[in-house]
Amino acid sequence: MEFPSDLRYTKEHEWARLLDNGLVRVGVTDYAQDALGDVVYVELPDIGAKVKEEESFGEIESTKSVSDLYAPVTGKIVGCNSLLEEDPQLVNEDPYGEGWLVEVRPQVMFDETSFMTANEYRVYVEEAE
Amino acid sequence: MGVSQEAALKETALASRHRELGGKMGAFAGFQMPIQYEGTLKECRAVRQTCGIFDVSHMGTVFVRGVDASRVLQGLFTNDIEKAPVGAAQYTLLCAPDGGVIDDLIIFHLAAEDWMIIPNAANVHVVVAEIVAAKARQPGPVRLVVEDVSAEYGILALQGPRYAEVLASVLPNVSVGRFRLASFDFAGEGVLSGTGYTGSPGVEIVAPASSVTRLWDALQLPLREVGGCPAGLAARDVLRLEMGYPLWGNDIDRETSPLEAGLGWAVAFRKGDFRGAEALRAQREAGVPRMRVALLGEGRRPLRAGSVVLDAQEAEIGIIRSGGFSPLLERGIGLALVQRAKVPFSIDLRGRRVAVEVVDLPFVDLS
Repeated sequence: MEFPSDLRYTKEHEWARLLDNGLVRVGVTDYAQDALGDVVYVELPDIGAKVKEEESFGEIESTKSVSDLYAPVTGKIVGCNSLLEEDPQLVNEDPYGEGWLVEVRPQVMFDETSFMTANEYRVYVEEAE
Repeated sequence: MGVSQEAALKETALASRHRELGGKMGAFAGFQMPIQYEGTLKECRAVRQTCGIFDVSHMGTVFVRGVDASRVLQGLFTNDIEKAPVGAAQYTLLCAPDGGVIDDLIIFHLAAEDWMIIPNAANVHVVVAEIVAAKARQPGPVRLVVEDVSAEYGILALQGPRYAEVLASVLPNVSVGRFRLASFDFAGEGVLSGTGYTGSPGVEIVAPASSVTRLWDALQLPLREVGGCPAGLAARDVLRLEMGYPLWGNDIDRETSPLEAGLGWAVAFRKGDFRGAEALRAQREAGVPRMRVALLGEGRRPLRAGSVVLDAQEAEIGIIRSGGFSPLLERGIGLALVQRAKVPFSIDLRGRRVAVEVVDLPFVDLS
């Protein structure tokens, strides 16, 4: 299972990537997509919606279950991955690339240290197994 | 999942095969079963387009033999076994005296005095007990032997438009039509049945576990050669739901009448007395309070079992009993039980309203 080292990870099995323009891109991890199974529907917020750290901002549904998506940071939604409307399985096929979920303009500066690194997340996942 | 819980689960003879194939195992009806291998959608696609193989050995295998077997079973099950001559299979129901469904099952008429019964995994013991009790209720001596071989037998389902090619490469001289049976010998005698629960063409193979294991192994290469793959119970659930086939425990149970569940076609009122007949006749006269409806969601969002069904006035009129996502339609689908004469308008999915449309079954057209 892959956990790219340039990403930061949450206990909710999501990743956050600080982009050059200060936005934070959010997706679910390889572990999460594997545990979910085939994703068939993703409910994302509208552009402009306010999201709050650790609160649900959407839902991801696989053939077998539905899970909440949690915002890793507080801020405003400035981008949603519209490819997922037609092809939600991108989350399974490319969770860190084309399967990203939303982009958030964080209210305060993104603090990498409040997340897990790839190595820490790997340990976290192994302990959860 | 706790260790003790896992230890209590039974496995089929193919459990090690499933693990080698990377199958994700999960609990179903007291068994540790493969829920999926590479992916549920891929497995559904294989069954619809080429071929998939399922291990359904968790289901029971019960022989009922003897000169009185047909008479006793005719008085127990709802369907008319006169319509299942030797060499035929039949879908039937076992109902309680109040008309509730104890189990739905397939019965095979192997020989004049020889039946094989395939109950759901969770209901094997109760079905066997009901047959034994039915025997005891008969006046005078009854020649009938019930033999539960569930632990020694296995069942495979080979399903998909290219199943016959796959099968022929392993059992070259055996073929069956829909709901027809044939015997074969492949390191043990077994029964080939033109049945399955996916709606796609295919067969089920019932044989001693050692034979089933060898068949599973022998079928893998021809299966891959047509582009097929093993398929798990999650795919089976999706495929049966696309056809509107009921799942015992979801769509039917002890508290649900076959007349409510759209299974009146499997209740042969004309054949005379059978278990539950009186209650079911009364229900037919009076009309049942609920009816099964097929619901198509407005978008991709899967409909989920347990969701409340609402009418246009937002009144609660029923519950989704089975729900999910149809890969062929790319829409949410569900089977619901709703109050008679009410019209479903939407469902409540975790507080969100999702518009639904009542459609005819099957959801998908495979012709």
